[in-house]
Amino acid sequence: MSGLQLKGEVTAMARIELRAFGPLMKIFSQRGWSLPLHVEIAPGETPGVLLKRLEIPEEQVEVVFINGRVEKKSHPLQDGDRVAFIPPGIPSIHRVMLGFYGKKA
Amino acid sequence: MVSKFLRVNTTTGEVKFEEVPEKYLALGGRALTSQLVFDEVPPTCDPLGPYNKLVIAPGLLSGTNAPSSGRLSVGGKSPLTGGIKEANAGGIASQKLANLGIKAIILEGKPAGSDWYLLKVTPAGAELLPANDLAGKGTYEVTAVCRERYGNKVAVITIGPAGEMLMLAAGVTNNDSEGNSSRYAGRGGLGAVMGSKKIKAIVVDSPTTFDAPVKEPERFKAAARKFTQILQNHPVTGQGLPSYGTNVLMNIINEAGALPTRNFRFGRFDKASEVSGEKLAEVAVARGGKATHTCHPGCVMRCSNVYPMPDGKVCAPIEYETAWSFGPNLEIGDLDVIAKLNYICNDVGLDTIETGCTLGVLMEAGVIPFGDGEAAIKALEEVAKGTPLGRIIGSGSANAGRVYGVTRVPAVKGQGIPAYDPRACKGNGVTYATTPMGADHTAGYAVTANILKVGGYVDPLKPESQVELSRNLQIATAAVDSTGLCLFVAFAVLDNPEGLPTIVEMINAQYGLNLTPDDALNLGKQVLKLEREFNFKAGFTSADDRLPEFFSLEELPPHNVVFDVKEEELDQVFNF
Repeated sequence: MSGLQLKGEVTAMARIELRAFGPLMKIFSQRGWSLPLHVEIAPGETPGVLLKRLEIPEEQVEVVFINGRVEKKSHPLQDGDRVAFIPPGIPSIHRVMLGFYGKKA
Repeated sequence: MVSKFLRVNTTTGEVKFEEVPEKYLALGGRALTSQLVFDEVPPTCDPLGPYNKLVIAPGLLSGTNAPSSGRLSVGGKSPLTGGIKEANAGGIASQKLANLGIKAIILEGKPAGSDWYLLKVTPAGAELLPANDLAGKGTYEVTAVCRERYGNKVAVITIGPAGEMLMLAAGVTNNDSEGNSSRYAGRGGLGAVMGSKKIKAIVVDSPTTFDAPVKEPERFKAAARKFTQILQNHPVTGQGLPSYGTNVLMNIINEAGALPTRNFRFGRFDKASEVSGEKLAEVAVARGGKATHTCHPGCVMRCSNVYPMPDGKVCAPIEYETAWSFGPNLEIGDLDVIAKLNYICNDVGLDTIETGCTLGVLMEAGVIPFGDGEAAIKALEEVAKGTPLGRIIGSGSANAGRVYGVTRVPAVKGQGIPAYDPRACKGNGVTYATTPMGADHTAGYAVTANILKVGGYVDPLKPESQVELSRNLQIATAAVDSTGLCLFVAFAVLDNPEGLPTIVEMINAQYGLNLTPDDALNLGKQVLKLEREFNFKAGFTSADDRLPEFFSLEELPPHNVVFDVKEEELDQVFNF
């Protein structure tokens, strides 16, 4: 993947800080990934694309947090974003309150 | 078997069984405790005086084969809030009471003397026995003594020294199948009400657990089987809760920026992962404990855990809200300290959420330093001794704030705010402000499909639509609290169109009724209206339906939001 031309001078990759919780943490530890993991992305890359690139089965991720808010998997990522993959089955009313239903996609 | 009320007049020592009047027959759990309190307790009475009553009731489905239906409701006028209270617990007492045909135990009056009593309930009847030998003992020891004396299958409903000393944050506990006295109807100080009646313990001895009377057994069995499948097939009840329990929320709420940290100053805690459910499961299993465990037989969700502590004792469970109250709230990032504080609360008989909030206020006041686990433990050990500091800790966050001149006190109606910051999750804020219970995270917990259809996505950081959301959640929750079902069934019910009809089918088969899902929601509305009317008669006004001022003045990082749902809107929650 090529980087994006920024301000017409540097070819820079954007970086996000990635976390994962519940059973997804096992994927991270099995692969020897740190938590949080710093991942280089192309600006505009989406969590859905990132999941495929990292070979994390999409059905194991119910929703994605970006900078503390639940966003759709089609939401474009930016340099410096704090991203977290949330597994299915998180209990409590916060499924509704935080947008697990409204932003599922 | 005809179901009955067991009424205990603690003034005279009279113990009698009564036929259940018709108006109460279709009520259970919270609907029953709140109706009885509304009908029998003068709203202006002193919560620790002779006119208050403590009502203990299994849910409608408790004691049957309905999965996860063993919740117990404890009700009365709260000495902490001054309003009506229903506190809800797991444990094995609910199923046993239902199997003895007891729809509710009502403790009333107030003895003149200083002697303590134990109420023993068996298939042969009920009697009050002297219990001065149990006075002053912690709940773990009381439970162990009673199990030794009356058989290791009995359920022991008891209070600790905090309840005996009439402390306002004292809870009523009962045990799980292993005898851990940790299943608390914790909130609102009902342990002090039990203490005021001089009842140290209630021993419930029932030979059966799942044989509560059912009118149409085959029909019931089919519905219960279907409901079990609904729970097992849903990711929350079949997968999430059985893996990490409720404390899987720690990392999630931290990620959302809604984890109250350092007495509600920040929305994230840098050591959240150290006290998370994932970490808890790892440590518990490594030490020979259990990452999953049931609080009562027949629960398919198994969200409890068994955490072995370094001193050889066991804390079972550590729930999310408790891990929060003693963890991020106090800036303590050590599960062993949290477990110890949790255990002390269980033993001395205090509500863990209220106590964590109170310790947070004491840290805010500089009485003990934030982050100092040893100091927190030492302070909490004062409660059993009944020292002035111990009594302040046992009297709840609002009182501690007054004593130490702290204005940053997270409480509504005198009850401490639990583990979700109302600024970063405003729907919770509306529920905390307006529920008749005082700040309570379980008061707006159940959700019905129409809410999602009508409400769509409600931004947690914005004030819009939060009132309507909270109203609907509170109604649905009041209905579920009346069934004896655990609130955690809510999402399986929400996501499966057959969920609610199946619950109603179980109730109909058990009682020979013809209720519809709409009737269930109407019951929820009726319960809330009763509770609110009680509070108005007790002197509450809309001024009591407000969050503490600092939530609208101080921005909460990382989202830098304040609580900004308008007061006029808060006053619309009960317009239904």
